[in-house]
Amino acid sequence: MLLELKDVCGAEKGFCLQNITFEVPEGYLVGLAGKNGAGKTTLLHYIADEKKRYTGSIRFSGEELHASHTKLMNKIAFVADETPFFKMYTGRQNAQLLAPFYEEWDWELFYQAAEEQSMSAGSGLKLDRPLAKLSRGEYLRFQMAFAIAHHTRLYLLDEVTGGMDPVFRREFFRLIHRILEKEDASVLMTTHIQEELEEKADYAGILEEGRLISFREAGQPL
Amino acid sequence: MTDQERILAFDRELAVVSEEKILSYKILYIISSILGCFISVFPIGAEGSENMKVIYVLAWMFLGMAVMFRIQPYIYMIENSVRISTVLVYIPVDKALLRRVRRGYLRRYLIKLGIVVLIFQQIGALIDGCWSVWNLIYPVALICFLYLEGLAYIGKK
Repeated sequence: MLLELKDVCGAEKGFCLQNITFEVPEGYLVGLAGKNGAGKTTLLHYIADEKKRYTGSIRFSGEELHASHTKLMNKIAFVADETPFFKMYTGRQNAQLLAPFYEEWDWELFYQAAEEQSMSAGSGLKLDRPLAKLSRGEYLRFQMAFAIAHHTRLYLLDEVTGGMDPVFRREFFRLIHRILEKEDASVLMTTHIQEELEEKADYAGILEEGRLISFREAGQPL
Repeated sequence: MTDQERILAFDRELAVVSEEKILSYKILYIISSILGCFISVFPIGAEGSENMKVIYVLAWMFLGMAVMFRIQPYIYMIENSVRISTVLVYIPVDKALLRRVRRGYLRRYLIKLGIVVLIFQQIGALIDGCWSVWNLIYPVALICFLYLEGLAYIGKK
């Protein structure tokens, strides 16, 4: 198992995450659906944030995540609309600034990923435009290229498909499946569109008011 | 590369991509440092020094500003005042070590500044013929205050 959550609990403003237990196997897409405020983003933050704000256990590649969080974040990427980068700088400059922090950074892979992600017909990623001037889709593509370049093994995608047009959504999931096949990686994504998980994910969980009320192989009955 | 080397490499790259902005902050901190140092030549204990309190306040102000201008480029993105540590939240960097490196920059700057302020204060006191141990204590107290100010600016996050 690449990621294992066991009895993860955390108190946040207005709700509590309670006894969240599930696993993300290697090479699979796991989706979590739930209404706004169910705790999906909070759960991803528990994984990605340096500070441990929960009780219970989160293990990544067999290691307790927050015992070596800095080291393990080399292999984890958090992709969302609000992921902070240096938005006044270009994609290329952001990569130049942040690449030194990664143990395995592959420039060739970064440029190749940026070039290959023609999610709108015929256009490679504009690496020399400030990130603040990129469209939402282009910003997500940059984040995916960035994540691919540091050999991410766990992609945390926070509601990235919301508001995507059907063409972009199709291309995005094609990219995800290519990554799952090629990169020995897993994806944990959140969405408030349950039907999307049934279609696209290998495993689907439903969060409701901080509790995981269901976790099963996608397509199986509730 | 060690974690510290990674942070130093990031800072070097930051200096390259935001070269013009860092240069403008450099000019500001040099000017503030020079003004603050010159003002600190007025010796504590000189005749009429009670009337010169505003001069001492100005020295503290200029040197306080100099500290902020000196470390600002490593704490905040100059363009939009976002804390750099906020941008690095999902990047594999030890935030405590990041703050330690910034405190190192602060200490190195304050040591140099402290030596200059100390020398200027002694020169002023000797010229005025009013040297006392307060002329040693004053610069040390000033630098301690500036260090605390810098620590508060670097913050805990």
